[in-house]
Amino acid sequence: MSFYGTNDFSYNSDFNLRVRDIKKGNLDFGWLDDARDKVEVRRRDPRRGLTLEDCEVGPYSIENTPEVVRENRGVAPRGAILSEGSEQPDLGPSLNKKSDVWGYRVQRYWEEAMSRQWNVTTDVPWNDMDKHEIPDDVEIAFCQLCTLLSEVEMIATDLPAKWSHHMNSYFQEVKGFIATQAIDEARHAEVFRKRALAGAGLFRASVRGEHALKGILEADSYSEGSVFLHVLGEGFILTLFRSSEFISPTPVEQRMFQLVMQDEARHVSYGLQHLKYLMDNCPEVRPQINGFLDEAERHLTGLFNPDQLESMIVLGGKGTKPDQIRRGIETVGAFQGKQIQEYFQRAERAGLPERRERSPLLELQQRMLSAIASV
Amino acid sequence: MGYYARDDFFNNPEVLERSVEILRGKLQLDWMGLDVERGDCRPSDPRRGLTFEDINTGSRSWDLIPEKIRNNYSMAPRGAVLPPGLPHLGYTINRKSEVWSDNCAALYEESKARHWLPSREVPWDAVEDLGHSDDFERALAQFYTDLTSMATLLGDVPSKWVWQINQELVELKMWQCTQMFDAAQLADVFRKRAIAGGTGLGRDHAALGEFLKSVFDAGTFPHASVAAHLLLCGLMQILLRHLEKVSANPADQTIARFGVQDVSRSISYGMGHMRYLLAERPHEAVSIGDHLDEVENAAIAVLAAPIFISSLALITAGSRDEAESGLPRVVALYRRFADEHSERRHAVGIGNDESPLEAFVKELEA
Repeated sequence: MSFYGTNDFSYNSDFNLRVRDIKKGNLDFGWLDDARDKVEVRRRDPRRGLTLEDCEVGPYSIENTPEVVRENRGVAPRGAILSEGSEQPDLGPSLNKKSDVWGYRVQRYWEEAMSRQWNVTTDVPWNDMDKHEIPDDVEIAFCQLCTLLSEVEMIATDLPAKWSHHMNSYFQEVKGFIATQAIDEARHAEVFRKRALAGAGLFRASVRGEHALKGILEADSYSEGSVFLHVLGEGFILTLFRSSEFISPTPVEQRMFQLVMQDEARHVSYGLQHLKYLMDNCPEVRPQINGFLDEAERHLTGLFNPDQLESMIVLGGKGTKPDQIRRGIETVGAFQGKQIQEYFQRAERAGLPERRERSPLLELQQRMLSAIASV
Repeated sequence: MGYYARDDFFNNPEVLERSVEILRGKLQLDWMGLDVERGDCRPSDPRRGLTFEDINTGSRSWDLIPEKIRNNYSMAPRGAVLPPGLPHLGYTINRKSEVWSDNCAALYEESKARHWLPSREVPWDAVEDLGHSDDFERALAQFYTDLTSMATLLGDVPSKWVWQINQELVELKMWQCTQMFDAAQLADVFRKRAIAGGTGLGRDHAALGEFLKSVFDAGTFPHASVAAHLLLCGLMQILLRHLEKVSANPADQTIARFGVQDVSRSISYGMGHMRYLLAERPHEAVSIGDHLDEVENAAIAVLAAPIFISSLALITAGSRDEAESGLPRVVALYRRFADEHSERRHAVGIGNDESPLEAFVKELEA
């Protein structure tokens, strides 16, 4: 036990008096007289129900919350009346600046995440798997890809979890949103694991990819972890999902990618809006974020591992014959270029246009393009 | 940056050359020849879809996870081929019994299947037209304020631990992610309800803060688990059941029903985990029982806190004037809580007939 409350109530005379008071029926209703302005909350659109934005009124609104939250050290909801000064036990939140965690539109992402939950077990047409013939080499390639995706998706549950409990409870929308991310990503790891085990099985894990995952998990701050995970990592994975839908062997796999893409796009959007909020409100961290991304982009190169690249090529060409391999290379080459370009576009939208100039990824892309041109 | 890989892949000519070779059409495809156990799993009941139970086969089964995980500290999925050189991801929970419960995969499936949507499934129009007194609404808002703090903390517990758990225990990690999600959703609906009623959120109080801190600050996951899942969830469950009875408002009744459903899953996990842990490591019972006694000590301060018991008495009786007459029903509620909690303690092997909670309720009844 690392925390013992202020009193052992078995031996506390004040507490015994309180119990005696309760037994006598003496109730203290002083709290009922706490002066509080009434608020009127109405659903702006009854079809959408009562959203967080509908509840953004008076003292409950994030707009009325200061950049640095000093008064709340416990888990009180934003807008509750707090105990006097030091009376509130300190649960030790360490992310107490709004710009540490906040992103524009986070309330909407939270509502959207709740309304778009889906179920791997029942929403993927597993019963249709036997309706389609998949050649052995394509099936193995798909399971190799599923192994990698199942491996990388759980990082996006671990990183939010690592930071969520450090966030001040006044930032409930962010805590809530990244809890939805944790369950979304658990579902992604689940769908790829289930698909591999419904087919040829789990193949080889990726050493280089794992180093990138470790880089994400061990980021020094939440914002660094977020920019690596949401903007860089999930941005790349989102493009990969889109390409994977295109090269999926059957409608079953296409459905999987359609479902995971909607979640992934939301996570990328939150990451962009957090980065944008950070750049707008805390521009002094720009050099730190850029320095971090210089290294993070090097880490990310690890995700271009041979097993993943080869399996995508086999899937893209629908087989391992020379002409199929050639077709696969064309498909994968195009998508890899897109991955890098889309990343730069996102960084630009979030307020970091300089990534295009200083990133090592452009050089990588150039080398890849030359290689494809020589085929 | 906290981690710099030994190999700077970008400047490793071998790594880049390999990628370039592949794009020139020189594929090795060595992964195609790996000796891999095929899956070929299918839904055992087509109407229920492909469950975790359906894929729990062969060498990848969770039944075969050893008590001490020594083979994998990376994020590689359980059952994948592990190449040499996988890094250590820093997991500190590598003993199965420290976190496992045999029902975690089933609870994960259930949680997904029973997903609900606070913004649309609660009949919020009933909150726009309350039909009860202002005092009653203020007491309800206080009640919901306390529940919001409890739910927030309930999400912080898995958040604190799940990222430290070895990836081999993936079904358990996924279950904890649903716990984070369920708790966030409960915090959201409780807070929305308090604000939407018009009187706004009530008061945060020290007794509740100390109780929640004593749940959160546990030194190990089993200590956190027993406090959060048996005691805190037990308290939330009984309060929500009570709410469903005392509020005539359909919105409150809906919130209470969904809330009970969600916290009951966590109680079920907590019991399964304790059973699994104590079957494997029975000597832990003393330490865990002592810890639970200490957290109960903090819990009784909440139950006796003037703001907590008076708001509960008011919503139980229906008005401020009749609140005193509602006290016996509140004491009866505390008795049910103590009895259910005691039954759970006994059922998992950490029973204590003289626990602080039991002693407190006996004193109230005397």
